[in-house]
Amino acid sequence: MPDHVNAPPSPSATPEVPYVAGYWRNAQAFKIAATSAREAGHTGIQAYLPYPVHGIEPILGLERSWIGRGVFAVSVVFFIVAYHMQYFQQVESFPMVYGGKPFHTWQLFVVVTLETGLLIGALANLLLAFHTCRLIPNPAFKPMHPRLSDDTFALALPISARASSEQLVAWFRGLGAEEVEVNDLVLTQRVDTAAGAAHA
Amino acid sequence: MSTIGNDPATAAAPELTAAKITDDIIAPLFKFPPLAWWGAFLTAAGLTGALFLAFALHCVEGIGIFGINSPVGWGNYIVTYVFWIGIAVAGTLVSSILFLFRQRWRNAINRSTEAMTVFAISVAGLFPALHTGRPWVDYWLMPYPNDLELWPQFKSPIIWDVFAITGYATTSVIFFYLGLIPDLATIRDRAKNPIQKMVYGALAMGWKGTASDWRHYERAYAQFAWIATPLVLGMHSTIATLLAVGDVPGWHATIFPPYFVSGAIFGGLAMALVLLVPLRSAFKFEQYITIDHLERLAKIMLTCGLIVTYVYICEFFTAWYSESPYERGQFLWYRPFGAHAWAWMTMITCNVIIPQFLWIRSVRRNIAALVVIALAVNVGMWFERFVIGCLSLEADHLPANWGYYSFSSWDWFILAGSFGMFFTMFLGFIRVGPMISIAEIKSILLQPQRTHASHPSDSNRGVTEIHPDA
Repeated sequence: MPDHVNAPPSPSATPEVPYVAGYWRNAQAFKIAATSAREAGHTGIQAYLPYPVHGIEPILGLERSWIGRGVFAVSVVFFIVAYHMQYFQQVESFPMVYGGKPFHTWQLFVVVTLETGLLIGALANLLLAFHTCRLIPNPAFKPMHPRLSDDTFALALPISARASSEQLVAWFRGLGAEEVEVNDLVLTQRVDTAAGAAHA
Repeated sequence: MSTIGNDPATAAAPELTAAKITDDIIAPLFKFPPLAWWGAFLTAAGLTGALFLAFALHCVEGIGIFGINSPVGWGNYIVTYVFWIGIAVAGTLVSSILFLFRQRWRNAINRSTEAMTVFAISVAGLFPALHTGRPWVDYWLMPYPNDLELWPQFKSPIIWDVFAITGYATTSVIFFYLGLIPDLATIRDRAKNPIQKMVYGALAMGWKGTASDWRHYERAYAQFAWIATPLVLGMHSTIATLLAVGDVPGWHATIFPPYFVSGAIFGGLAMALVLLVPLRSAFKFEQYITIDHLERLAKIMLTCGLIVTYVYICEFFTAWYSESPYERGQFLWYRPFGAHAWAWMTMITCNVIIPQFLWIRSVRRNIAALVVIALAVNVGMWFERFVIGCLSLEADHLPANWGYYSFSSWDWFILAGSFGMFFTMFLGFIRVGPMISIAEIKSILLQPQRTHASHPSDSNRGVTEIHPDA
C-alpha cells in the first residue's frame, strides 16, 4: 500500500463531501473521463491537475475567470484617485509655478496616475488570485494524492443516492483509472484497478 | 508524447514525462551544493559585504566619499543604477512581453529571467535611495499628509521615477512569486525533509491545483503580464525622460525613451545569456534550455543592438544638423576625442562592433562565442550609461565649468559590490527554487500544439481536442 494512504490529507485538500476519486497519469485519458462525467450528468465534479491542460474548462463547464474584470475596476478607481491626489496637491493645497507651467498640467500627471493605478491593480490581482484559489499559508498541508502536483490527474465525484460508491468505482475502472479511491470522510480506501496494475 | 509542431526551441525529447521533468528540475534543490557553487557564493557574499560597508560609510560621512564633484553630480550611483534597471527590463521582456506575443519558447527561460529581474531591481533600487544623500528621510519622496502641506513635485520626472520604480519593483516581485506557487507545491509534495516540507508548504499557500484554481491562476498570471508590460516600458522611459528634460548637451533629446528601452533589453539579454549558459550546463538543463533558445535570445539581442547603433548615429547626426555648438562640442569632439574618449571607444566596440558577429549563424549557435559577446555587451552597456551620464556633465555649456570625473576607491566597492549582491541572490535562489517553470514547461512539452490560441489562459476560448456536450 502506498505511504500516502496512511497519511490523511488536509481537509481543505479534498472535496468536502464523501467522494470517489479516479487517478490518471495521462492527460488525454483524464480529459476523456472528464467529458464522460459531464455527459453522464454528474454534478459537483472536482478535477485536479498537475499542470494546465488546454481545453479542460469548457469540458468541466467552468466560466472564464472574473479576475480580469476585478483588476480593471480596481485600476480605474486608483487611476482616478492618483490623478485627483496630484490635482489636489498641485492646484489646491500648495500651488507652485514650476517651469512656467500651469498649476493643472494634465500631461505631467499621466505618469504617476498610470504607475499608481497599475501598482494597485497588481496588488489587487494578487489578492484576488489568493481569494479565488483559496490560498493561505499552510505549512502542514497534505495533498489528496502526493503526485497530484507532479504527474497525476484526478477526478472526484461525490457519493450520492444517485451514484453509490460501488457504481462510481466501477465507472472509474471502466474509464481506465490507474487508481481509484473511496473517501467517506472517515476512511480513505484505495481500490486496485487493472490499469493501475498494468501501469505499475 | 508529442513535440510542439515544427518549433525546434520547444520540441521535447521523446523520453520526457511529467515525472522526469519534475525530477530534472528539482534535483539541485535536494543536493548539497558543490564546491564551485560555494566558492562563487562566498565570493559574491564577500562583495556584498563590501557594498554594504560602502553604504554604511556613506551614511556616516556623506556622499563626499565618492568621486562625484562639480560638475559631475551624477556619477557611479546613477550609472550603475541605470545599468541594473536595464538588466531587469530584459527579464520582464521575456516574462511578460514574449508571453503576450504568445512566444511559447519563453517557458524554458522565463523563470531564470524573472529571477534576474527581481534581483536586479533589488540592487538597482538601493542606488537612488542612497543617492539622495540622506536615505533615512527618503520617505519625504512619498506624498503623505504633513503639517507644512509640503508635497512631492509631481511635475518633476524625479518623482515620476520614485513611483515608476516602486510600482515596477513591487509588481515584479509579486509576479515572480505568483508564478512560483504551483512549482513550490510540487516541491512541497516531493520533499522528504520535514523542515523543507514545512517551508515549501507555507510558501505554496496550500495550492491544490483544481481546475477552478488553474482557471483563476492563469487569468491572474496573464493579467500580471498586461500590467508589467506598460509598467516596465513606462519605468525605463521615465528614467530616460529624467535625463532628457535636463538642458545638458547630450541629454536633451526626445529619442531617449525608446533609446533607453532598447538599450536595456540589449544589455539585459546579454546578462540573461551570461546566466543561462553556465546554469544549463551545471544543472544539465540542455534538454530544456536548448541552443535554439540561446540563438533566439541572440537574435533579439542583435535586433536591439542595431536599434542602439541607429540611435548612436542619430545622436551624432542631430548634433551636427542642429548647429548647436554645445551639442556639436559634446558629440563631435568631447566624446570621441575628449579626456574620456577611451570610455566612448569601449562603448562603441562592445555595443556596435562586436555584436555584428551575431549575424553569423554558427556564432549564434556557439556557446563560448555567445558568452564572450554577451560579456562584451554587458561591459559596453555599463559604459554607455557612463558616457551618457558623466561625459555630458563633464563638458556642458561653460568651458570654465568643465571637469573630469574619476572613481574613488569607494566607488569601486559600490560597483563590484552591486555585482556581488546580484550574484549572491541569484546563486542563493538556484539552490532553493526551481530555475525552470515546472508547470509551464510541462504544459507545453506534454501536450499537442493547439492551432488557434497559444497560451493557457486562452484555453476556455473553445480550442479543444474533445468537444463537450455540456
